[in-house]
Amino acid sequence: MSNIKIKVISRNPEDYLRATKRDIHKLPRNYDPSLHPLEAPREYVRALNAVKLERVFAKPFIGNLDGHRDGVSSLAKHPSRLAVLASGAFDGEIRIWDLAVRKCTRNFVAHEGWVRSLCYTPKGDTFTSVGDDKTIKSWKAEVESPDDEEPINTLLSMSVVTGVTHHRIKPIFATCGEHCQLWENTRNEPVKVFKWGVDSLHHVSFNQVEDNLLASCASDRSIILYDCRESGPLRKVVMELRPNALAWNPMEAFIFTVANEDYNLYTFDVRKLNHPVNIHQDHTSAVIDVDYAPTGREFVSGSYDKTVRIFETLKGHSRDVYHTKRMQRLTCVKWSLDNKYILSGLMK
Amino acid sequence: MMKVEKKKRYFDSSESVENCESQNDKVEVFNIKIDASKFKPDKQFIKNAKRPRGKSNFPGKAPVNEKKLEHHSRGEGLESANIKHPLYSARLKKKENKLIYAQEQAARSEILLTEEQGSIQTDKTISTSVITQNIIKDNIDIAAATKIFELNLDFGPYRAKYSRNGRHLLLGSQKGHLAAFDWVTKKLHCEINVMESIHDISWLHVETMIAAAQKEWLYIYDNNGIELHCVKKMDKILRMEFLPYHFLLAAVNEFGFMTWLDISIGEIAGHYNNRLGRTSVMTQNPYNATVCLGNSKGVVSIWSPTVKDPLAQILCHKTPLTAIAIDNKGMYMATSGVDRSMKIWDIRNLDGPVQDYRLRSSPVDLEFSQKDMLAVGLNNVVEVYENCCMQTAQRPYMRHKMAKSITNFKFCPYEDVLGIGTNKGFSSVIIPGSGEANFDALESNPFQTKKQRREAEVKALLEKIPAELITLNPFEITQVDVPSMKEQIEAKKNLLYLKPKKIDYTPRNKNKGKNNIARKKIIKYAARKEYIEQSVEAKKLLNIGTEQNAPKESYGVLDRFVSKSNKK
Repeated sequence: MSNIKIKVISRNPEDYLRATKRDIHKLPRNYDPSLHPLEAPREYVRALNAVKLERVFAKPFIGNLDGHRDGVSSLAKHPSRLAVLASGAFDGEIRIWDLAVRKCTRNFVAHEGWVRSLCYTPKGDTFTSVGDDKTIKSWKAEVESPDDEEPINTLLSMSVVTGVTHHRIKPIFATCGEHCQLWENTRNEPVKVFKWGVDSLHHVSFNQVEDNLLASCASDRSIILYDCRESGPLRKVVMELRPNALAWNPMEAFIFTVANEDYNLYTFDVRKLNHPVNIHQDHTSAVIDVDYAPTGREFVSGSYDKTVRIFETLKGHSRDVYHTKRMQRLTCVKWSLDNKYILSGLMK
Repeated sequence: MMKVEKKKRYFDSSESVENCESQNDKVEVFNIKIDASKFKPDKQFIKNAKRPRGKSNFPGKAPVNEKKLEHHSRGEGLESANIKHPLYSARLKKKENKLIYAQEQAARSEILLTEEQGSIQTDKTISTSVITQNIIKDNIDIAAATKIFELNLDFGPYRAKYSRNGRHLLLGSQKGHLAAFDWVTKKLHCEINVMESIHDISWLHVETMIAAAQKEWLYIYDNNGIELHCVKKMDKILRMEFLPYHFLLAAVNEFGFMTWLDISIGEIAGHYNNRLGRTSVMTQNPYNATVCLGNSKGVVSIWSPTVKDPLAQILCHKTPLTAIAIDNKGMYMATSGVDRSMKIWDIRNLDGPVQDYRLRSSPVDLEFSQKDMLAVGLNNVVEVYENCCMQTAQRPYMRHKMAKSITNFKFCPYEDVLGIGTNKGFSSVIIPGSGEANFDALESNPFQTKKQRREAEVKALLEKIPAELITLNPFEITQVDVPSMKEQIEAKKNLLYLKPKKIDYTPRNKNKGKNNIARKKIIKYAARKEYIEQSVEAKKLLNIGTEQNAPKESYGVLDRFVSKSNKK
């Protein structure tokens, strides 16, 4: 029995225990599948836990701004002050909010009927509102004397005005309605009127980088691009269903995203309008509003399906979805300028 | 009140505003049509861009051994030809590539394993079965030789079980002796006498908790021998098995009641009678965490906590069963009966034994090791067979004879050790090559510190698999649940046997002078009509009622005597 060789597992504890207390623990691995039974159910539980924990710790809802007696129809961010937000309601009331303390600082009835749209001037000292009563009113952002409660300027339009947007630098703003009109702050009549057929426009937006460019959504399912220096429209993109709103990418001037009635969002490149650069799916009802994050990497969309979704610009599906129990149909969404918060206005 | 101001109306004046309508003809118009091909997968950065192929001096990584790749394979890949949509096909292809990559990396990492498996090398002339423990002791190092030891204890037949990391040993005797100790360092955790008979013992998820099935109830002790719980819902238990990933303690009692106790929350996950009578042969299938019972009629049945009938049944022997064992991969099952035979079955394909052995006497216990060696206990001899499932083993790999009778034995995980519980105590013998040499520290670590154990406990609790997921095929959870044709037709058929809606006849306001009975009849009639319409529609869907049109047989005048059901 001399020529027997026996080998037995004999581990030296020193190979498996750490040498000093400062050392890290040794963790030898062996990926042999027979040592890891029940792979599928364990992985399932892990995945489920990961999703649940992410949701548990997310708590995206911070609070609500209580005060409007009717649904919120439009929102406007202050261009330089993070805490200031203006909101217009379906009953014609405008409220100014202090977001830091979540309180209303000022409220007044601005229009008869809806407040269709709101926008601040680039300096932030005044803001403009348009309503169903065919008026375009400019208001002081800060009230110092009782006179400041009244509009600085009231313009009467020939037809209903549905949207307003301000030029980044020049004292020009554009409204839309039956036609797209360009106004100058000092004049009581439009500087320019862009017409295309008989269909009306319901949303208009200035490009904030290439600041003479503006785009509007028309009810004949088209998006029309204008240059405010030119006398006519530049391009027209006809979709299959109606585009509801439009947002320009603040970092890439040639990119804009359209919230569409067919539950999708479409990102277009101005240089190549033949087909969309990307289609963002996931909403289960018409998308009402869209707004870009100041980084231009993400955007938020609000939909008729009572959800707010966050998309990455390069991806076809949403990164996150927000929905609470009391949530109603969305009318407007905004991404705050410090890239931290999302503001949404709901119907009542 | 809003102040009415003087407003200027630009459109009243004749002053012309610059009008741009005339220029619209020149503008480019883009029509967008969206179809499926426009949707594209999410953009991802290409990490390993393909380099132009050709002869190069640097051929890249060394090829992986085919056998190793096969060992780490999770089954065949997907056939992309069956997927019609290019988007999904591309997405699945990408996923498939990741799986292939993982498999390759796992196979490559085998080179990092440090320990070598045990083995015996002899001349061709000498059979390994003649090698006794004394010879082994002389031929191995001193540290390993301490693993051969014997405990002579006085309290009758002992049962032994190792903890999951193979470091701790639990002994329980028929006469109430309960002892837990670290068998490597021989450090005693606790030793008590419960003053009752102990039928079975088990470690729970950590080595600080012990379950003992005593004469009446199930008791749980900690590693100092302090009684933590007395589970009176589980009485007269004969055998127990702990399912570590589900935190379930499966037990069967004298009356055939099976109980799964969730030890993390102390609730019973399943409790029913198996209608097999008294069964003291029980084992678990580590592959899918089902429990196997063998009864006195020779039938092996497989059970899960949520299904009250056996998931599978198989007649293995024509005589009462004495032992069952299932290997680690859940491939083979060994059964033995009183008829002195031992059969190996393919557990995933239960037709006909793979191997059929005749033994000298009927085995007391069977046990598979981590490396698929089968230990067979015959009265006072333990025989260990190597490679006995795929081919018929001619002679045992090792034999160990003792002067005591065996009650049970267990292979120690991650060691080449077989621990045998006998009527006079416990003996530990070395079986070279039976254990897995390289442990995975994140799965079970024999060198675990207290802190690591606590951390692992929390992680294991987070990953506790719910009891409902115990099925024959553990990968069922990864499959898509598609209702079969049969189920679809059943669902349609159920439409036929709809019960008419229950209607609350009591009206909200009592109408004076109006006859309620008439109203009730109208409501009833409407409800019935709706039901009939529904069932007629359902019948149309299923094309039932054709047999009514079959011509009936006529007996002329004698028709009146034909029973009504026949007439139809």
